[in-house]
Amino acid sequence: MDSLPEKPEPATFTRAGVLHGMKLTAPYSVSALPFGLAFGAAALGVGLTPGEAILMSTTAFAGSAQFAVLALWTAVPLPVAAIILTAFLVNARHIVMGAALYPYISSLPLRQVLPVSAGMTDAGWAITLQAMMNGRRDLGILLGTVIMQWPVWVGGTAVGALISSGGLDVKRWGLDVLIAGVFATSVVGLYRGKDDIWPWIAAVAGTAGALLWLPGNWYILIGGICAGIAGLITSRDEEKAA
Amino acid sequence: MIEGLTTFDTAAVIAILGMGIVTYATRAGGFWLMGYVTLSPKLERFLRQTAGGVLVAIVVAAVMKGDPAMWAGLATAVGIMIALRKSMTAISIGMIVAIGIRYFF
Repeated sequence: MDSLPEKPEPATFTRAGVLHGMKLTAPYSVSALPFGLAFGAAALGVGLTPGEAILMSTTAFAGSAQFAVLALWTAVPLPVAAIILTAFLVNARHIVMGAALYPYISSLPLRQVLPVSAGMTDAGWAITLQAMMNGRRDLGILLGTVIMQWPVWVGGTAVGALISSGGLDVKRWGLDVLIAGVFATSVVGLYRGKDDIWPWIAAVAGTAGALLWLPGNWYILIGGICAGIAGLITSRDEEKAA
Repeated sequence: MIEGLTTFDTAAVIAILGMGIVTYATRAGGFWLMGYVTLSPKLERFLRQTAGGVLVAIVVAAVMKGDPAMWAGLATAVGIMIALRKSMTAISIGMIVAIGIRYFF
């Protein structure tokens, strides 16, 4: 936010911006395909129908949240509230991301901004923020990132689901390791420095305690909240350093 | 005709649409909120860490509930991810390790 000019020029929403955003997103778009395929296959492995898997990728369009709820999907009856709460906790970071992007496009009406924000991903956000920090304050860029990722994610899910629609043995084909592996590797990729250490230790402790002593799926909620509280307490100095 | 493309369970559809709604709320929420109030630094520090906590929780649960094949697969995936920073490669090789262990033992 340091790079915000003193007197910002009004932001724009142009076709050229959309094309620019699409161009910047192309490499991410390609790398999202195998994850879409994997999600489709894993979703069927835990018991979603192909239609449900495709519906989820279309409406939620949130990779890590979608993989997260698969860990809950095998429970009977389906823990609907836990699933929705998990999606919220995994995606709560979007609130911070949107708030960080807002100052660059605050001159645009919300009726333009909010529909475009519906497709904001981590990669799309990072691409857009970088372009805007470089002076290109065009909401079209964010829309371009959406256009390049949404169809790929939904299409990948559909193909992955249809390939495995005959029914797969989750353990035999290592799909449980696939689901857990998505998280284990994203934790590695998410590590940003020592500010993350205490929140993660808190999450491990809270989760282990919840798994041992609480029934059901409270561990996910407790892990997220423990990390949030630890972040609240321990990352105070980051604010001044930044 | 592809099987299951038009098969929907009511509870599953409610869960999926609920996910869609809360996810949209988080995406639009940051922009919307900033139009009226500024996000307090405290709330921001909290929200920044919840996603990491949920991911960590799922890994911990997978490890605690898992078999040796799961442990070996995850250890392999994490090791490769740290070394190469290529998540799809790391996960694929981790899966192969787990599949192999389950096949032979």
